[in-house]
Formats: sequence, structure tokens, C-alpha cells
Amino acid sequence: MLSSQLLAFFASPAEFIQRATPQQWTLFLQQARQQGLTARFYYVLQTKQLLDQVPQQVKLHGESGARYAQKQQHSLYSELQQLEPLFAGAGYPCLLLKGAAYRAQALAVSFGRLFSDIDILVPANQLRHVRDRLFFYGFREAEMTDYDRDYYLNWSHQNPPLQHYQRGTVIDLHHHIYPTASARSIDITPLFSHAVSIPGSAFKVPATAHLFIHAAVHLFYQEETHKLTKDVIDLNDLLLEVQHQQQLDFMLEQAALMSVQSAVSNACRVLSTLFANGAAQVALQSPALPRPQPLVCNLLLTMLQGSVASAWFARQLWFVRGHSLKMRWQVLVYHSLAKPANSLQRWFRRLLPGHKS
Amino acid sequence: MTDFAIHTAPFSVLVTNHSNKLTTALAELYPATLITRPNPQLIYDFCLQVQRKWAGWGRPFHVSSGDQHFRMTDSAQLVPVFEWGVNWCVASYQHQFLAIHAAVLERDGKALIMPAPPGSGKSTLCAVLMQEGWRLLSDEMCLVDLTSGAIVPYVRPVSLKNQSLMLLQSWYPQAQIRQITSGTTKGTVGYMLPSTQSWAGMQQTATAAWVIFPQYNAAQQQLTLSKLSQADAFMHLANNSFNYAVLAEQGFNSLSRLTQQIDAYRLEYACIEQALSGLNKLC
Repeated sequence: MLSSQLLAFFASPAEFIQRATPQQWTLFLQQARQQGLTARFYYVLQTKQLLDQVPQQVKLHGESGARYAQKQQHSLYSELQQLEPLFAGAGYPCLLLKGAAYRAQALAVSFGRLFSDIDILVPANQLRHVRDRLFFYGFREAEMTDYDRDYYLNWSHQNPPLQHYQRGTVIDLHHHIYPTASARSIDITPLFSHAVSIPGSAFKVPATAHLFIHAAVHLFYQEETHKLTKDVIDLNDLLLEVQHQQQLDFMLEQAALMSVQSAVSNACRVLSTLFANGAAQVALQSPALPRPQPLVCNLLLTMLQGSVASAWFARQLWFVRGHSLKMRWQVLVYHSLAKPANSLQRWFRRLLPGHKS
Repeated sequence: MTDFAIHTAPFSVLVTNHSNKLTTALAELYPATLITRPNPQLIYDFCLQVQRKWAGWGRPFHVSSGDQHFRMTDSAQLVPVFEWGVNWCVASYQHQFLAIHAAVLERDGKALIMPAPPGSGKSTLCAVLMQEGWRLLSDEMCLVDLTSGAIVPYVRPVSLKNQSLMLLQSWYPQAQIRQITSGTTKGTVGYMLPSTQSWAGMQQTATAAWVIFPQYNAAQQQLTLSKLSQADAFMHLANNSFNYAVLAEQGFNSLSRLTQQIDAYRLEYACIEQALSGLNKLC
């Protein structure tokens, strides 16, 4: 179990700190660092007034992580300030997504959460325009092969990542929340129509219900697993926030409207199992939500709680499943053949005399 | 499997280790009391894995912390790569202290801090001063307590490179230099053992008194020791810090306090005796 201590802590911090042995704390610190959750656990302890009950060493590492997270948040604000003029005159909605959106509203999930990039969603027909404006603001696309670039533009839901030449900030500019190569069609117009303005800013943020839906779609309809523990902990906090803002019914209604009910239903099952999440249990009782898919939920739980071998096997299945969901089968077959062929071609070209890499 | 733990205050490291060579080598570098079998009753600050894995045509050792990979190495260079791996953990993950890339030594409770980029002769000067009776706090990292402003020791073997190794051996034939490894990314690397008083004082903090920015310059005829303004010293220290920017306001306050406490100089030297005598007059 790769993140067992973390899951136990976030499920019930008070109980965990009562019974954790030094050996478990060592593992806990290591797992928290690995998942970028050091600052998160510190803020949880602070909010629940449990800081005095954990060993001093744990507290010091938590403080250390919190300092780093705080610095990242300052950098985020500063970067958003830089971007404001660019989006100020836009006649279309520009939405912050994921971490930047959580932080902009100071949701509980954002305390101590680390960022690697800023995610922005704009209407599909404005993507090129916004990208070109970002070029003028000093952002550039990272070097990549023509094949990878075409993949981004034709099959994914975002432009290739844009990095500022001086500040190093990375922007993921989205035109959708889900790859366009998928057979599944998700209607994202509600994200724009229910978006909430941020006072004094050109940016908007999706309603909290939509933030949860986006996170659930990201987790359950794709193959990524490298920050799985962090992702489910995010989902847990987001769903509690949805309930706190009395948006649970709205969220279920929106999930149906956007045809993403299975992701929401599976997310609720997993959150109920792992964290006994009250909001998830309420949602699962609702007739508006279809029954969770046991196989999918078990795969996810095995990746989180299974033995090393079973988790590995579950990850392989999850990888195949994720790809088959995010790409139509024709695209998947083409990609599975074309990507290695393209790599091979480039490798052969490098062997040619006179080739300059 | 010969897992072990290193207890070099203020950080302990739990090592999952697949190399008997590493265990034997580290026993030469650290006192026996500091390297123990893992104790389940202790919380360890960092975990490092040294594991042999298949990669390409060989089975090199992978040094990593969880899924954060640090470096691959063959058995011959395992010791330096392991030592750098420990530095990497501390430099990346600790923000409990303001950390400055500097050698630190102490005499009469007062600390001499020598920040400098690689190649400036910082480690050579540090090793010489230790041989001359100064207590070593660190040859790599100056840790400043954010609350008290005290300089916290992080005693580890002194890493010497290339020419510096030969010079130290010729100046101090009795000095204990171990685990000399050639062909690393930094050239030939060896480790000078900290003096007995340095190990004994590994938890004894010191008060910052002097900051010297050393620069070895072979063309230098005469030693120059020029005083730096507080503002210059502050900026140079910030530039040499691993986490000044992360600590934001606390970093600024901590470095301000440090700068007001010290006298700062730039030291340009070609001859080690001149440098030593200059520093002895100053400190």
C-alpha cells in the first residue's frame, strides 16, 4: 500500500495521530512529500487544532511544507496579476480551473495545495486568439515533436503547455475539460453559464459543483495515476465543499446534464469507502444518480489500498481503460501504431550521416 | 539488504540499501554511533533508497527518495552520489532553516560563514581551518535558525575535489581523507573526516560573526581582504541561499538579522598561508 498512512490520516486525522507509531510517521512524512501533501496535512492539523498532539519532528516538516506552499500561493497571485490585463478586455469568459480556481476562492481544499501550472479554460473558438495573445506576453510552447504537437491540437482538450520565457510559469490553456478524441461527448456550456465572477478580476471560476465534476471526470475518465492519492483527497474536500455550499442537488443535476454521471457516482462510492464522506453517502442515496460501477471502483481502490502486485496490475488495467475512454477506437489504434513508428523514424534519422540533433 | 540510518543532527536519514560496499564505505566516514540499524521507535526525517535496478545494459544503483529519482551510478561512484543524494533531500525539502550554500566553522562560539560557488576554494579553506583547530559546522550548508538566528551545525565529512585533495594531503599528511573516487561528474572526490571536536559539537549552535566570500585566484600576488557593505553582503548571501525565496518575509527578516550581526569581507587569495594568516588576524 503505497499511500496507506496518508489515506488513514486524511480519513480521520484525530484517530491517526492517536495510534501512529514512529515507524508509521516516518512513512507518512515520506508519502506526504511524494504526493505533495506535506503542507496539506499541516493545515488539516492546524484547522482541527491538533498540531500540539503530533510529534515535534512531524510538526516541523509540516511547517516547512507550509512555507513552500505559501510561497507558491504568493507566486500564483503575482502571476494572475500579470495575466489580468491580457484577459481584461476579453469579450468571452475566461475561467480558472483546478488549483488556481480553488485558491482564487480560498476553498479549504486549496490550503497547502501545491501547483505545477495554471489551468485556464476559454471557449474553443477563442483558443487560438488567446494563445496568440499569450505569445505576445512572453509565453512560448515547449519544444516537442510534430507528432506530439498534432496530438495536443487535434485530440486533446488543451493547447500544448505554454511557458513564460522569463518567469517559467506554465499555463495549460484548455478549450474543454475532456479530450476531443473521445467518443464520449461532454457538454461544458454549463461551466461557462454558471461561472462565478471573482471580484476585481477578469477571471471567473466554475461553480464548486462543476469543480467537483471536473475533478471526477479527470480521475475516472482518464488514465493518469501518478498523483492518485492527492487526487482522491482533493475530491473528498471538494465534495464536502459542494455540500457545504448546498450545491449537492445542483451537482447531481449538472452531472446528468453533462452526461458524466458515472464519474460522479464512482467518485461518491470511492469517497464513501475511503473517507466515509457524508456528502457522498447522501448523493449515493439519490435516485438521480445511477449505481456506481463496482469493477471501476474496485480497480481504483486496489491501486490505493492493494498489495504492490495487485496495485501494479490494477494500474495496467486502468491505463488501458483510460485510453479506451479518452480516444475513439480508431484514434486509439492509429495512435498506438503511429506513436512508436514516429519515435522509430526519428531514431533512424538521427543515425543518418550529417544529421544535426 | 543492509538497511541503516544516519543520525547527523539536525536531520536523520533512513536508507534502504542494497549495497554492502556503501555500508562499509560509510563506516569509514561517520562515527559508529551515528550509523545504526533502523530503529522502529524513531521518526526519520528523510528516506533514501539505494537499489540496484535493471537499466539498459547494466544494473546500476538508483539513488532515490520514494518516486523522486536522484541519480543512477555504478558501484564505484556510489559514495559521492549517496552523499550528494543526502544533500539533495535536505536542500529540496527542508525550509525549517534558512539554508545558505556555505562552509561554516566556529571558534569561541563565533561562527565564520564562507558562502561561495563551486571552484572558489571554499571547501579547501574550510578543510584547512578545521585542521588548524576551528570547529566544523558544515562544509556545504549554513543553516540559520529562523527563530533564534543561531547557526545550526550539520556536520558531515568534508567533500574535497581534484587538486584540493592533493594539496590538503601534502599540507596535512596526518589528515584523514577517505573514499577517494575518480571520474565523477565533479572529477576526483574524496572526504576529509571532521575533527573529533567537530563531531562532539554536532548539536552545539554558534553565533554568526563573520561572513567571508572567498575567491581563489592563482594570479593574485598579494592577499586582498576587502570589507563589504551590509547591503552587498545581504545580496550575496541571498544569492547563495537555497531557500531564501521560499521563505519570503521570514527569509528576509532572518537574513537581515544575520547581516546586522556580522562583518563581511571578500577574500581573494593565491597562497593558503596568507589566507590563513589574514583570517587569523581578522577573526
